[in-house]
Amino acid sequence: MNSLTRSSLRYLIKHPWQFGLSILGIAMGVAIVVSIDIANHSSGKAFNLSMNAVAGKSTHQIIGTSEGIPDSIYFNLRVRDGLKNIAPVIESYVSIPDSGKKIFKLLGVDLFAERPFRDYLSNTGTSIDGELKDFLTGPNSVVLSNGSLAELKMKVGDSLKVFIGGKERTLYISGKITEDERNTSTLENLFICDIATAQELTGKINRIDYIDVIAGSADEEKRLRSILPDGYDLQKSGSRSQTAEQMLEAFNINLQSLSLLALIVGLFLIYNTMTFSVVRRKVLIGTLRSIGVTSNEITTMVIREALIIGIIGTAAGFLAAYFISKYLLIFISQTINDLYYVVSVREIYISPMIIAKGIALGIFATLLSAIKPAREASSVHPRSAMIRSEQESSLLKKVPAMSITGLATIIAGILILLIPTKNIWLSYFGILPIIIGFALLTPVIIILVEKILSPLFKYLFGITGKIASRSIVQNISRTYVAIAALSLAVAATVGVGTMISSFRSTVIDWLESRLNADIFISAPSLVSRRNDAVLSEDLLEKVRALDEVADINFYREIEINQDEKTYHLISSGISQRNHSGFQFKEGEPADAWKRFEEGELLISEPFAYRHDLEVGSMLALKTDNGMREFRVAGVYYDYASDQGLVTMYHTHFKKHWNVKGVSGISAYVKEGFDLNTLKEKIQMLDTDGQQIVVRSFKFLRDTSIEIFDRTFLVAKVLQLLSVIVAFIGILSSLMSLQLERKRELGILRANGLLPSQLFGMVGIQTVMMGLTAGLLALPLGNVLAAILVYIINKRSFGWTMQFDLIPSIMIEAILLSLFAAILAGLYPAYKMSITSPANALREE
Amino acid sequence: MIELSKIGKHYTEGNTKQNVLKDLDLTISDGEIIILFGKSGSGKSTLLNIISGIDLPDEGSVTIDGAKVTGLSEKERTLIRRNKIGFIFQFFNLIPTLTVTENLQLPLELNGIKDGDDKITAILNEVGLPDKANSFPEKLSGGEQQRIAIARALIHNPAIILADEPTGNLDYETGLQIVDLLDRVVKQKGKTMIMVTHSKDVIGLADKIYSMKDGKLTETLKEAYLE
Ligand SMILES: Nc1ncnc2c1ncn2[C@@H]1O[C@H](COP(=O)(O)OP(=O)(O)O)[C@@H](O)[C@H]1O
Ligand SMILES: [Mg+2]
Repeated sequence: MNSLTRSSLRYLIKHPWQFGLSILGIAMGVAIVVSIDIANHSSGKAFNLSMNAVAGKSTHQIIGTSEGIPDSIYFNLRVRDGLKNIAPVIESYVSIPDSGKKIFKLLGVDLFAERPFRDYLSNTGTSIDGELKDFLTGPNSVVLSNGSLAELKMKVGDSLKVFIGGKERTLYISGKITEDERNTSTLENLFICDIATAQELTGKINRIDYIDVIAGSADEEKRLRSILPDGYDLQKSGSRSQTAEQMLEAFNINLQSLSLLALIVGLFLIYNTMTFSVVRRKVLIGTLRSIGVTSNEITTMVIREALIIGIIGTAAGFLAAYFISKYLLIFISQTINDLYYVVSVREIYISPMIIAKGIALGIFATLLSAIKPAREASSVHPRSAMIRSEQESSLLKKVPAMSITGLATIIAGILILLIPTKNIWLSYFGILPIIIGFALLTPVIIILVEKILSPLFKYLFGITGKIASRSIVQNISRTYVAIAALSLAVAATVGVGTMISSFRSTVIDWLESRLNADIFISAPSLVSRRNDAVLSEDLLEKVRALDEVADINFYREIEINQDEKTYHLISSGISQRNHSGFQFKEGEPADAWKRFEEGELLISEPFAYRHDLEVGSMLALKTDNGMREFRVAGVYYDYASDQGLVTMYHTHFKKHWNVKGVSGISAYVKEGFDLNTLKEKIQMLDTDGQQIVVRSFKFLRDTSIEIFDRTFLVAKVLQLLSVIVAFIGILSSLMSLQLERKRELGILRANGLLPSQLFGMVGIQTVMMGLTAGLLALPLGNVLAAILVYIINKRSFGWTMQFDLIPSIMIEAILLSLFAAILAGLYPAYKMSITSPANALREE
Repeated sequence: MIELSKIGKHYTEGNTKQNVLKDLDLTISDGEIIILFGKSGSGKSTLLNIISGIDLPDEGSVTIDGAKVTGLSEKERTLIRRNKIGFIFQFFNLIPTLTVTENLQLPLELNGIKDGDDKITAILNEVGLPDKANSFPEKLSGGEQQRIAIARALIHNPAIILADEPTGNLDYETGLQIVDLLDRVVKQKGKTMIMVTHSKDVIGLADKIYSMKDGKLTETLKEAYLE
């Protein structure tokens, strides 16, 4: 080790506070980014694995109409057309009430046709223990993997109560599959049964969901397509995973961007530390230069120090990410289950990509933030023993230029944001210059704030108040970075908080006008935002016939898979009373409703955005009678699904789709009748074993808001974490500031300043920094909120939202930054106040 | 009157114990001017710090005007210091964040003296820098900074001045000007002063001269230097 390195390492070790804190800052930034990545990746991977388990070796699926495929079609293909490599499948979900709401997948297969498809089943003689005969023919018999049995604490021969499609069933475990290493995770979530059993359990009589196909060549695929009847389609096996990925894309990007924020705040922290360490060592660096160390060697020295921080920080970040991601995963898979699809994630998956990205970000961020300090260090002149105040005034001289650059950067950011694009990354990228611009404007704002507050502080606290406030400006090259970092983190809190609040009140307004019925009936559903179970039309008529019922709305939601995309189509039996609950973005309401009842479509805003549709556009949909074109009559505001909805009047829907049952019913109580009586009456109706959920408006509204809040929990956690990183930043910068002022504080003590007065002075300074950061955070935060509301959310999900300025959030922001600053100031203030002035004076 | 009796002070670094002051006695009457010579590292600054209560001795006691400083709390010592003692340092040590006027306000404020403006004007005139009232320390030359530091040490009219190599960082000419100033504002006003220095030019001010060696003081006759 040469002596330069040694000197540099010793410096690191001698300043454990600063270096420890910047390592912590980078570690937290990296940990947050990586853990979000891991959580996203793991949930995606879990979904893919479960898809793969189901898809097995099949290359394609034949998908039918909305109600699946009649048995007869399958037999025709197999017997009449002589197709050998096809197998029928039924898929459903099994929820187990006693297992903490665990959800498994029910897979109904035909063992005779299975052999080529799912190899874990093909070798039935050896790998499926238990009685094959039972497995095939016993009533409600299922087989599970060893792992699943262990998880459920069950064994072969046991029975268990489950819910399938909202109906309670008792399953009999007739066998188990022994996994080998290849398919442990694949088999984890599966209940496998005979196709006939599945038909019975799911109520899909004489129907199957789809047909698995192995098409070895393009020719075979072509031939298959040619013999498929109208209304049937051949879909690639991976396309369901792809659709799922697309569904989550916007959600994932938004999470990732939020996580990057913490890293940006961490970047400020390193920048601050490195700048400080350089400024503090100016005399030392000058001496080194004078004895012949080149400026390149100085640059290398500083960069190397930064790298040490970066590497240790990144490594620590990965370690932390491993633990954090487990918790994040719980939140994230909850949200996916609430909003998108059923997924059960039991394991953490880390990909090389995630590792590479985490390392690159950690190291890159470190290097990026070390460039300027390194250049500054290398430009120190030999034998320069400049006193720091000179250096500070040179930053003061740069303030006008910085401010102008800052404004220009902000404008550049705005221009990027104005680029009409659906690319969310690009939109987020536009935020970066705005953040940087604000950071560049921070010094001038600090100077202004100090100008205003300084007389006040002098009036309140005397000379010590003045020293406190002025030293912020005098040490501005350091204080501004800490203030900027804190205000950025707090601004993010304001931004995200305001966005969530605005969004929330938009959604509540919407819920309140949309849900204008008194009572809502549905089947229990696995994905909260969607009703995947159906009620019978019988029930609909029974409800309609009740004396207390004035009127009803009902709807049926189906998924249409066409062009590798999933459309959510709503067949709506909406009553006139509910028309007022729809706000139209496009289309004149009276005309739109008239045309709607004549068979045209109403589409939700996100759907229009995603598919570039407007009033008058034609939309082709795959009906049971083949493709049909429909005209769009109106675009309405809707916050139920970010995938978008297509709504069609039920009488017309019936002409095109042979779909029975309804997903939900809502009823209006007749004047003079009691709501609770009606509720009880509905609950007493004979539903033929179908579980129903009867909810009041208030309850439904509250659960919807609950889901909404759950969705944004991760966002809130993320912004809180960036505040913690910023807190570390301000702590580290206050520490170094006070450290550097040791001598000055010593003189004050020599002149008779009491330790308590010194403590107070450092305290005042801290309060001022916190206050400045808080004040700065308000405009930036609201700008960020507006960008999130008007640009990011719009482009991610296609939603128009109202934008509210929320005073309570702003007050909280100021308190938050004050609190963070004060908390960060306590230790340095205490430490300085107990330092012996004799020691402080001795050091020169 | 300042009385030091049997003062001992040592530092331990690693496992070597260094006795800086050993069994040191000193009595200074009011209005006396004491000059302290001694090699660098001989413990002069340590002694000043002990007198001012910035530092505590390991043995012995310090009494100022009858009050036993060494038995007091940190807070009480600070209160005595702010009221009775003015400090002048080698490196001037003005508060960089404050203007000249504000640096001078500091001791006044700490001692709760109101209407200090006249005092500030008066003392700035006395040190010959009336036009620097609103400058920041960094804009002043070394000699000017030291004048302001002297003004700061005197403005609240303390009885005792402690000066640690006040000319040590100045050129010869400027050093002489500072000595001249100290003569006017300290000696002629009858204040007590203990000054550490390496410069022989200050001997004219001294009532007594001591040199520090091996943790003890020996008095030297003034005449010995005047030859
Ligand atoms: N806080 C301390 N820790 C260790 N040694 C100290 C400390 N303060 C002073 N010393 C030692 O005490 C001796 C006297 O220091 P000082 O009083 O500053 O000398 P002078 O002012 O005469 O040059 C020196 O050897 C110095 O190293
Ligand atoms: Mg000394």
